[in-house]
Amino acid sequence: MAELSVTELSKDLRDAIAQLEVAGDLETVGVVTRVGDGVAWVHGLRSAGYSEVLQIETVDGIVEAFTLNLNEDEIGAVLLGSDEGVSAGAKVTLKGTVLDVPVGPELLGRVVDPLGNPIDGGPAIKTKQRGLVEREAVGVLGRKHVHEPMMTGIMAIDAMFPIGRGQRELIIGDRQTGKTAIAIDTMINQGRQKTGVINVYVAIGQKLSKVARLVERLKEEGVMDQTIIVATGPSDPASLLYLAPYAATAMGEYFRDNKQHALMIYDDLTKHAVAYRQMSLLLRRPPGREAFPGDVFYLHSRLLERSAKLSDDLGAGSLTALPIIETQAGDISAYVPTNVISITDGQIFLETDLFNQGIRPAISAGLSVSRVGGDAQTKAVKSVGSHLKLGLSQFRELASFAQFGSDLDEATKSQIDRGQRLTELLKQHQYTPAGVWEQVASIYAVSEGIFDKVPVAKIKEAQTALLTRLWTDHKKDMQELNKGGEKINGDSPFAKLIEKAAKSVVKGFED
Amino acid sequence: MAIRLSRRKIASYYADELIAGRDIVRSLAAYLVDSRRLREIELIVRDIESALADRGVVVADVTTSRSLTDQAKTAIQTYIKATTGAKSIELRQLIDDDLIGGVKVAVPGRELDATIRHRLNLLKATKV
Amino acid sequence: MDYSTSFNTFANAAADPEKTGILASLGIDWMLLAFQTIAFLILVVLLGKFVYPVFVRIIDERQEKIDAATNAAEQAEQTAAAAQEDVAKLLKEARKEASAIVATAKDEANAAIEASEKKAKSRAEKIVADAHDQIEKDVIAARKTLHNDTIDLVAMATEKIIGKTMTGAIDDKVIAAAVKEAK
Repeated sequence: MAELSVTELSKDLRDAIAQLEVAGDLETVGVVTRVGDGVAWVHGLRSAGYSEVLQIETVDGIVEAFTLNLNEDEIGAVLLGSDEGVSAGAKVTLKGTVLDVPVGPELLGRVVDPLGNPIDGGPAIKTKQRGLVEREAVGVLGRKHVHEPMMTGIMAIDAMFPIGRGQRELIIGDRQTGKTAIAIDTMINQGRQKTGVINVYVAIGQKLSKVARLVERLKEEGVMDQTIIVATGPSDPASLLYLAPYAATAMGEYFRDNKQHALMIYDDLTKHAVAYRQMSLLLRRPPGREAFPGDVFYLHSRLLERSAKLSDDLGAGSLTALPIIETQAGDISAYVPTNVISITDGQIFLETDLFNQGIRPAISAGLSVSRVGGDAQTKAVKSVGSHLKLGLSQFRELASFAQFGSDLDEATKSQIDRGQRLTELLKQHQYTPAGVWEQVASIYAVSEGIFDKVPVAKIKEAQTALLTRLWTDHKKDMQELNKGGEKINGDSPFAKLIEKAAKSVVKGFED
Repeated sequence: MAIRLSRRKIASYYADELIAGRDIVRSLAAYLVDSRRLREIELIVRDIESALADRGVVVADVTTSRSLTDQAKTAIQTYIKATTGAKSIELRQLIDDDLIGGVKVAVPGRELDATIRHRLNLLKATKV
Repeated sequence: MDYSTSFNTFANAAADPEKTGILASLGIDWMLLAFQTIAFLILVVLLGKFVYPVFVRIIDERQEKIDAATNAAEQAEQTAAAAQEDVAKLLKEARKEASAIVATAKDEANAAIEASEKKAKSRAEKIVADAHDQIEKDVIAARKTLHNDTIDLVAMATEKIIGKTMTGAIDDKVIAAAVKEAK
């Protein structure tokens, strides 16, 4: 607990006086020639490098900036703070470093800005290490294929579009379709399942009230202790919005490089691209498509490439990325969405229509895909989920046919019935991520047709009953099943357990 | 239209002219008016100074809170020679009451700020 | 009466060849006897041919009816037993089902209670933690203010004091020292 004391006061005084005795040295200096919109143009400082930090002396202290344009006659630098105190003629010195942020376990449970300063009112963060904001991604030899599961706790995702540790899976959809909800559930699931995965959530230009609510929620769920939140609000300078994902990735990389597993959530990269566009236009770089600068692809590719599964030689840590992109009216062919889709290893597409029909999470089975997660799926989930995706997309096709009211044969009808039940089953409330055994038991009960007699509207109730039954009667087995190492088919003892429990549960729900 | 020359090239040309002992004021003024770059005049002067410094001629601004004694002046000149390796030095003296005490020596591209004001500013920068 | 007479005549006639004496004495007439025998045989044949079958049929039919009735009775009994069994089975199943439902309900209730208890507990803990947090934050904020105020104070004091005491001689010394120390 922090305490106020006289000793501290005297120490402060002593430090202050000691500071006065430091004499200056001959420094390389430049001068601000123009300033505005968060960009300062500096004359001099010929030795400055790209992305190097500059310190601008102002009346109220020092404002930092980093160089982005190095021209023959002047330097374009983006201010990391308010441009209010900065005036033309102000002295500029080199800090002597490129941008770096504090990294380490001391950051866990904290809310920081992209420079690593706490903004949660807590004590100053003292870390042993600092990490480079712009860092090159791991090379080919330092990597390994993605093979461990990163369970999101969302049945539709884990069963159909599994995500592995070290994968980059895009979450894309219009506004208000539950993109952030998926990300948050995934974070909560890391706490519930005690996976030990470190969450790093990056809010890029998000309303700070939203961030505050998120922090509150994570604390309630007890996940905050393994979470770092890097927050920037809409009123922050574009430079901070631009830096936020890189700085946060540096924080995540610390865990990746120390044999741990971290999960990055970039919420969202659309705003990041917009912030970068603002900076680029102010730096007078030529605009391209949708007024974005030419290197907007590189902007995101170099960021997401840092997410990787490391080889055993490097400690086998991993950094998984869940970037979020917001589309306008479902248009995934806009510039930034297509870019990020092509960079990532798959996407989860959320649809407004499904969301409004009450199918939440509103995951589109047709447009979503996971390119590498299959290897990472646990055997148990894989065995029950293998036919799920196919069955659901067939059902969607048949259901649209059935709307024409033609007579249907028995096979089609039963396929539609099964499909309806599966759709119903995959609905999941927010903040209720499911473990492996819950997913396996639920999907098995429905896809094997045991729940066919349960009315569609009561599927969720039946599922709850089944899970409670299984947990109270066979806790040990379920804990074993939760490890997910075994295939679940007709012969496995788990399947028999589930079948028995499901059959007895069904009796309570028949018409 | 003529190609827009970079300031660095202009400065380097005029620095050579100056060292050769020619008067450049009229020529430079005419060029700036002609190429509509009057707004850059201060920057060009700075660039010429730094081009001169590269050629061993250093123009230094010395700012103090009161006029310099000869002793201090020599000390400063030796200091500049030692640090920049200049062949010839020209001091421009400026007086600024606000500095309280100490000296600020500015040579092209570099600066020594040993004023009391600067120290106070640095102290204020340690506020959290 | 006709019969008895003819029977007698027939008996007389039959007894005649061997012991006419006894037969005759008994009044048996052989002829009559033979005649009566033939008549009797004819009667038997006639009866056998036309009368008995009717009787037999009637009796058979009755027997069949009785058998059928018995069967029916038996079957009824069996059905009744089966029905009873079914009822028992249904009852048993119903009971089983009921207990299953009750178990589920109980499980759910338990889960709900547990969840709400947990929620209440975590909420209480959270309130305490929040209070602690708040206090800590206040202390940190106070510290920060103190630190900044100290710096301001030192800066202000230094400025005032040096401003008054600074003379040309001191300044020269400061300048000389600065130039000497600087690299």
